[in-house]
Amino acid sequence: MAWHLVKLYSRFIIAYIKTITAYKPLFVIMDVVINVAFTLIQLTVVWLLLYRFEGISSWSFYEIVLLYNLNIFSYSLSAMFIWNPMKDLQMMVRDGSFDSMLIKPINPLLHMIFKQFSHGHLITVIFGVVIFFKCFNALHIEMTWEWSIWLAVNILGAVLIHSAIMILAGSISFWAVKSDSLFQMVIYDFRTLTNYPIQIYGRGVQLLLAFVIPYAFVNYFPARLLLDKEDSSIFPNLFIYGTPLVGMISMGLAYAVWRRGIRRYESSGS
Amino acid sequence: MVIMEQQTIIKVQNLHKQYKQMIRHEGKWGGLQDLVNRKHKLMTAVDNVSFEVESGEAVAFIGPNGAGKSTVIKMLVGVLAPTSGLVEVEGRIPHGNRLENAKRIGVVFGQRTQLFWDIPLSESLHLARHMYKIPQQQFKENMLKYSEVLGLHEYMNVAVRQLSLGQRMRAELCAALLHNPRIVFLDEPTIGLDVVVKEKFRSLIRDINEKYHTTILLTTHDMVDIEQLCSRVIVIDHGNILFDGKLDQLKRDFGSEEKMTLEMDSKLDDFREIYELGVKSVEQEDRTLQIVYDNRRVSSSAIISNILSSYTVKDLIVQQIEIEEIIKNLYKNRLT
Repeated sequence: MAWHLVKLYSRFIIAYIKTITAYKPLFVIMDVVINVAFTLIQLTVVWLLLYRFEGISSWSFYEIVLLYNLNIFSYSLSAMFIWNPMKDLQMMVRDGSFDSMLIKPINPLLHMIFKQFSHGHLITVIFGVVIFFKCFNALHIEMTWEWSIWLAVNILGAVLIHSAIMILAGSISFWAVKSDSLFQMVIYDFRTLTNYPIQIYGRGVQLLLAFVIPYAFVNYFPARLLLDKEDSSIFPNLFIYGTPLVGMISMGLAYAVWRRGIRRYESSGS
Repeated sequence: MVIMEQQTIIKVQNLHKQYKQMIRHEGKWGGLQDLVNRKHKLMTAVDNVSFEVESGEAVAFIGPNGAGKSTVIKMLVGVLAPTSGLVEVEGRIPHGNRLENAKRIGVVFGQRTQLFWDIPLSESLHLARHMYKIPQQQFKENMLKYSEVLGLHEYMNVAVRQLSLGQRMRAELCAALLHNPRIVFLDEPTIGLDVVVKEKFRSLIRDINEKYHTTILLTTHDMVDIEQLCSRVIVIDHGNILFDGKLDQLKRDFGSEEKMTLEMDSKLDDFREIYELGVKSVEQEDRTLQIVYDNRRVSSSAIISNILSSYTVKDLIVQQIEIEEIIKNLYKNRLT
């Protein structure tokens, strides 16, 4: 089963590559250039901002960069697969073309993920890898086996959290006709809060970011674990190991809501 | 000789489907009121429908727009769940076993594509091969056969979005048949197609029905589709089955009305003679004469020879009844 899916996905990727080389190479090149430029500008702004402050509270400059990058990197990795499907979902539910997802012998969510490819987010992912290594270098982190596994597991957990939030926000389309503004708010506005260590916020925001929209588990707790850092947030120290678990729980919850959404679609149609 | 065992492949019992439709408030503050105070109206799309289809049958669903045909089809393919009642396709409940059901059916929806919009047709079909796990040999044979019959060779490297409607619909049919489905659902497949493409379409569907005993379920507004493809007709309106039986019987009982249009050289002064033949109505506008009659009571040749005996006719068309008319007649029959 799993092997069949790998083969199917690689076929989709081949089709995607053939399409862009045959029909719109120039368009894609332009898009790549714009994406690279945009990412560079974004990074430079953050870089300059942080550099002036020489870090925030007890966090040094490169520690903040690592915190920032954990967020951006896991977000881009997740968005590469989930962003387009959830963005398209609203339209597909409204005009009924979501029907086609329900008459194919493959899980509809997987199908939505397979049939698109987001080269824009891939570029950010590649930048993310470079920045990670720059940080590890600057912070003199010794990349032991154990440490690397923690890094991988936490990134995976963070990807699951981001994906879960996107799927949850996207699934609103099954109930509400117009859902983009909420989608924007959840994904963009709240996400930017975690570009800084959460202890700088009040109690309410910290609780929100830990328990309601668990963005704190995307970068703040993993960063503390990976940097072996004491800090003054309101949460017990155990939370720094929580990311993989929170990732799995969020994803489970999101998938359950997605399934309910499909059942709602089944009973209402277009 | 092989005797094909007749099996029930589709079973529908007391099927109901209701939708909630939101009633919008009117006026300036309507949008706001909609948010606070949601009002719904319950719409019944399918109302207590029961029928069975044997494997190898070709059945046409007919009825006016919004009659509930597509809703029934959507429940059979697993897109919609019934409000109550039973739907079974090959012994499975479609919306509960969606992936398994999908492997065994082929779907062509005239209004929307099952192909991938941006990628070349050949890639789209290859994706279908992987998605449905079609064996290489079978894929090759089917591609050869269907692309030949449907004339797809020239378009294989064209993106689906660049195909014309006729080209796209032929490609849709090919994609729906590659995995040798046991049942093919066609929802208004010939809408908007030209005569040549329609003919190709029909001959292929007839072929798979006869050769492979593939069960065909089709909705259409085109009488010729039904005549050429389907031995059985189910008429649906307002979510009810009005008729379920052979096409011949339907036409004999409710479709015996014909309309004759004649271009005359001169105006007729009186229609008494024509009415005496037993026609239903005669109308004259300028030099165009329209006669409606029941072909069981009076034959077209009798009318023509009567008129020709005293007038000169320039042109003449005899039209069979439209599906919409048949349905009207069905209603009249029910009420009386």
